[in-house]
Amino acid sequence: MKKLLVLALTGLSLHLLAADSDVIVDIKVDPLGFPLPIPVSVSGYSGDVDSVLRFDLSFMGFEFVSPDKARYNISKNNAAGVGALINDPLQKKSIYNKAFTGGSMRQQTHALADDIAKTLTGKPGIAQTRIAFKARATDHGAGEIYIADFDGFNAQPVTKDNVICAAPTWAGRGELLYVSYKLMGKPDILSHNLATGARKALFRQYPGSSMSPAVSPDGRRVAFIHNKAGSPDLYVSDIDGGNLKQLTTTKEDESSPCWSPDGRRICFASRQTGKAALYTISADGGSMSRLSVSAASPTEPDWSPDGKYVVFTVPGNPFKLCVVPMQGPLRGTATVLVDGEDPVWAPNSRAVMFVKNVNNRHVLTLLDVPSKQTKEIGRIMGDASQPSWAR
Amino acid sequence: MKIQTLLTLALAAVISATTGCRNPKVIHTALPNMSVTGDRAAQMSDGERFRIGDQASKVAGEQVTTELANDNDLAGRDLDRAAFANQTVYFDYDRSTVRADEASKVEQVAGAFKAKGADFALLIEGHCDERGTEEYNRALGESRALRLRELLMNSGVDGKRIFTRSFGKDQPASIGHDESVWSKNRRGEFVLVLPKKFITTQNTQ
Repeated sequence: MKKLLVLALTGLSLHLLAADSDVIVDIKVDPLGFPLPIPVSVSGYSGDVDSVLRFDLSFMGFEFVSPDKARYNISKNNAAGVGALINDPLQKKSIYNKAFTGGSMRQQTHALADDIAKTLTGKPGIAQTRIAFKARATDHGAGEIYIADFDGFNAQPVTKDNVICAAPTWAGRGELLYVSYKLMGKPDILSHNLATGARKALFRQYPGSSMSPAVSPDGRRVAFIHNKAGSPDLYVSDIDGGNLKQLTTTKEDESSPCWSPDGRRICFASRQTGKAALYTISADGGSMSRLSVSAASPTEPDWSPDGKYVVFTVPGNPFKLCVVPMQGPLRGTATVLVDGEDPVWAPNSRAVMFVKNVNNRHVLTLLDVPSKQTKEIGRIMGDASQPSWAR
Repeated sequence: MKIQTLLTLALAAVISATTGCRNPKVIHTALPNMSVTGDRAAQMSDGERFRIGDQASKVAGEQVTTELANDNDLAGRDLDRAAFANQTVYFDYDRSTVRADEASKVEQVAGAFKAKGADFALLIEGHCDERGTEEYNRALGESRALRLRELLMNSGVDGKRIFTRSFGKDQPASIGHDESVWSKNRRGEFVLVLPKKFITTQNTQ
């Protein structure tokens, strides 16, 4: 068994030493509560492995510095496959020596990056995760659903319907829910099994339109918007479309629901006062509770998997992303992050993917929330929007 | 609280550390040889199987406050987009209420539609300008269409004959990035749905 010894506890800095382990975890947090990036040096790699490893680590809580300023020195080891030797200058010894074989070189590098992140930060990595998004060739017209690696590589079309397909969301790793206008020229929510290609319209038994699906964290329920009661209201149902329940009854429209990580509440935007605001409601029904975010007309909320934050979009020229803590001293106080819209959290509750407007073209972009550093996912041609992260 | 969270985090990190010796030997981890096929999507679409339940306008135990038109009634019918092309209603930014200076268009549609036979129907398509997120605009476009439907019903049109669709910001009337274009894209379009017998006649010719 591993024993822990608390060495120091000063302010927001916490030092822990594992007596039987070789990894010291030294966590400092910024005012929003995010761990500060761990300074590391990366050496010995070249080409794709070097760029992929740095790209991955930059969204998992690391910053790159010279070896003498680094908390850890990450260097290429001599093993077959993509591997790393990690030196801890404080302990003056190696603490990690692993290599990954099989798959492609990109996959090996992603696996290594995730393992390094897990080892040094304690959080699962995101380098082997997948995204879904809407893509279209031109400024208007049809949109198709695509899936890709989190960095935009290996993009594959899921639909080839040549109608509007939009708002994809993952229901587990092998299934997507999205909106398609294919059946009746109106928005219908379809479930799509990625392995078999089988599709099913979830709410075809009801007249009207269904849109903006959001799958609960346990994968058993779906929150969405339906207009069958005369205005676009928030509904929840079982994942197969059964047990439909209407949650809101406002005269104006609700939009873009998301779930709290415990699956108990749903956060969404409503125009019930005439202007957009964020609200939460129990997934089992109840009254709408306004979410204070100190920002005008917030829309498209997404609740971080660790439950601590909600990111959302605020209008302006251009539109901007904001983050608001759901706990702690800054609860209810929004911080503006960057220009963009439609943010979605990575599984590590640190990175966010969002849509950036680049010369009136929509570009999927990764954001490290604490440092506000962004990188465009340049591999995807055309117009890409509405990212959803498999988590 | 915060410290506890950090502790948990740190604990997880320490426990997850897999290297326990002073001079760790290299650990090899073999990845599965994943073949990520590029043709998967084509197979998906070809193999798609829609399982569509029978359409029911009302489900037992459900309280439907406004009965919408049965979408199956729209299937295969021809649309006349010219009939009410001059009655397209334009909206203010981020609003679904119909402006006073646009309301007369709704009256014109109501009068002309009521003069048509009972086998005609109306389709109202709600649209938004490019500003704002996509699903927000999809909901807003539906609100605009439903608001126009409500005004038509107030003027005596049977709501069961009115279909609504939202296209959000996916189908702008014109492309551009300033108010002169945006004001033309925030709109509700009325489309005349021709009787089913028209199709039958055309099909048999």
